[in-house]
Amino acid sequence: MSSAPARAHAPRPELVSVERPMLGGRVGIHLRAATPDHLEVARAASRTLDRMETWAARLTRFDPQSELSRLNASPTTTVAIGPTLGAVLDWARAAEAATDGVVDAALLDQRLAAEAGAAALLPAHRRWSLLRGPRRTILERGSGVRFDLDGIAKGWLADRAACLLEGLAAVAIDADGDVAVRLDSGESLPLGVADPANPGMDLAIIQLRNDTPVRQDYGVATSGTTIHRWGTGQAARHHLIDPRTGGPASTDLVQATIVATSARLAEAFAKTAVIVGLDAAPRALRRPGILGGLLLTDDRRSVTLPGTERFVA
Amino acid sequence: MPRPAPARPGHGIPTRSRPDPTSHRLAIGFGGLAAASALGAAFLAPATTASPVPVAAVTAPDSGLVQRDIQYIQLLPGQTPPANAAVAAQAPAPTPRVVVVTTRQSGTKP
Repeated sequence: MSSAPARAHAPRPELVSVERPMLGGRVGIHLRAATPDHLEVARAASRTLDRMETWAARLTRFDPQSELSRLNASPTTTVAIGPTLGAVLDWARAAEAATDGVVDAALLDQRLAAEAGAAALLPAHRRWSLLRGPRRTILERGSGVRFDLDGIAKGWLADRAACLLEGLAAVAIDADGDVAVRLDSGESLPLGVADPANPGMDLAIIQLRNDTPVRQDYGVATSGTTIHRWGTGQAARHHLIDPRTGGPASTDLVQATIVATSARLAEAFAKTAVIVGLDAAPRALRRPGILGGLLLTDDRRSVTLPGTERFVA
Repeated sequence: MPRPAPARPGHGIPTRSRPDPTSHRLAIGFGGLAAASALGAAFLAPATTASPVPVAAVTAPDSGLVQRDIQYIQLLPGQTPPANAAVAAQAPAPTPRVVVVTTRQSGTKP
């Protein structure tokens, strides 16, 4: 029997949270530091939110003066773009490849047609490419190619913002539901999975842990068809465009929550899962970096993907 | 793999009512065609399993139709799903929010 005295464990510091309206919703930064200086931690969160606002302003299609809006308005097929937009489009290209084309950043016209209730526009040749140099990025695109970055940008913003915050035990960047998490060794963080049918209620709790000796990154994202939707009954449309048809995806999933090694990866595959539907989702989600997922069907079944049990409380 | 025990009260994680243990649960298994055949044989053979719910017709190779290698297997209470199978169950009753950070569809009102 050990004779070592029992060690008193200091209570774990609470999360310091700072939130701000952004990205058409709410962005929150939640930090846990070893130091009890909550004010300095809150200042660090506010500075990071300032940076996120600067990046987001370049990427939104709702401001005609944003870099994205000016790009979409320009008829030029060869365009020099700034580093932020270049980095996000670089990720968009990688996401398209990783999801076998299900995630497609060049569907702005299809998205607008869905919002307006117009007939689906079958995507034509949406060719575009990036040439990234040390000082600038050149976008080459086919005529009429226009971009809607939406969730692609949010996942990227969450991951990028997490990189700004060093020396903290736990970091969670919530970019309107796409969450990037960084945990020091021994740290943990619970996340709720919002119930789309019951505001303020959660379907499940995802418990992220770092049982390794080094820092560990996670991403958790949710996509679905119940928030951004228009019309009713047979004329109901939602915002998740199936690139194969150009119209809102015909799917039996109302929501997908994915746990991955980054927020941008989680976002891309949450969207993919909903678009491809329940039957195809498990195979589509067997990809490097995808750690688990919870799918919610239109008849209120919850489908837990293999490997998710370790995350669900 | 057995499901983890529910969290104990007081750990900051809400306990939620578990699905009715007598209700049937569907395991959705995926794999290659050969694996799907083997899987189907393995689960059809034991006398204790319920009859599988047929969801995909096997078509003639030259029929021009696509054979879907998907099987839905109905589990009896207490049975565990095969490895690498997605598990479907009636969604649990939602619980009031007790966590600080949530993942949600973009644009969800707080």
